[in-house]
Amino acid sequence: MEAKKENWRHDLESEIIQKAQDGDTEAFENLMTAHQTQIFQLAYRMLDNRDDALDVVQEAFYRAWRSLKKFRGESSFRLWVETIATRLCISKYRKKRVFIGIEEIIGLGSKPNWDDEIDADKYRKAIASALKRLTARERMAFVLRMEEKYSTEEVAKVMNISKGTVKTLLHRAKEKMKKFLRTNLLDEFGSIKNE
Amino acid sequence: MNEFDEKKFDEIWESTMSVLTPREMEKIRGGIWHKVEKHRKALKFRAVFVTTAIIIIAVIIAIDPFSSGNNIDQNDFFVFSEKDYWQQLEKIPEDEIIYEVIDTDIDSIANVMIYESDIESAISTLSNDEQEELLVALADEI
Repeated sequence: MEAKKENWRHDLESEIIQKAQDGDTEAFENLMTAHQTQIFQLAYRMLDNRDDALDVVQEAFYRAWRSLKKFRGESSFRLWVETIATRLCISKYRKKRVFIGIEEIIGLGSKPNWDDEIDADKYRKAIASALKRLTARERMAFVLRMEEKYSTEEVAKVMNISKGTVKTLLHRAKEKMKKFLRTNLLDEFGSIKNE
Repeated sequence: MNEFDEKKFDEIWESTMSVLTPREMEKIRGGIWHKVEKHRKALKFRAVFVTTAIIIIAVIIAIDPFSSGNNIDQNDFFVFSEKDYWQQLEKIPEDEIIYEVIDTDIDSIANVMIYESDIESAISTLSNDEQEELLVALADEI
């Protein structure tokens, strides 16, 4: 039943993509509406800034529109746009990380204190701070796995790297995240001192 | 060592997922079509620019201002200072310049020749007797 539904969805999307390739702007808008939230969530986790994430979504869909005729349907439309968004995010994050590094050197943001925050804010800030510890590729692989629930193979495809590299990046990313959260979210994850 | 609570981590991750507001969705939509429009305009401009360039090149080829049929050397068009201009001009035979400026009308050429001639210096080369003869001849003509 689920497979049938998936096939039907795939056929419908192929039809919409075909229309968009023929210049139907409404069809392209339908594709945008269907996938923009996921692309935004990916970009937002990667960049931790709503405006930057919105820019990435815009640019990714714009580039997709420009090269829509080259899209052969070998992967899903969403995976294709995510590949474009991923490259944009990595490039933007690398630029941002220079400033994050400077912040750390001068001591800003080195000792987070979220005790007075409500849980949702505390967790959001904790996750964002933990993600900042990762390199661009570690963060991207980790976000793709967590946000999109992608397999190692799918992450490798989106990032255009080998499966082995994805495994290494995910392992390193998880270790860094755990270390940071154990130190900074004591109630939830315990102290690293207990190790 | 404490086990890292993966389930708790997944829960926290899910709870901190960001959602797009309708306004942000509209901003994305507007931004994309704005970029598309800009791209279309750029393509149109490029097409117009290329067409204009092709027309200009075609016109230049048709006019052929540097063709060998022109008696004045094409280098004459590329002098940069007044001094250079006069030096270049000196190299060109006088009749060629007159031909270029006045065309072939014989009366016009004669007028220019008379106008350009230094009559005073020409007369000074004559002897006193010759000058007197010339004056008598001119008086007879008048």
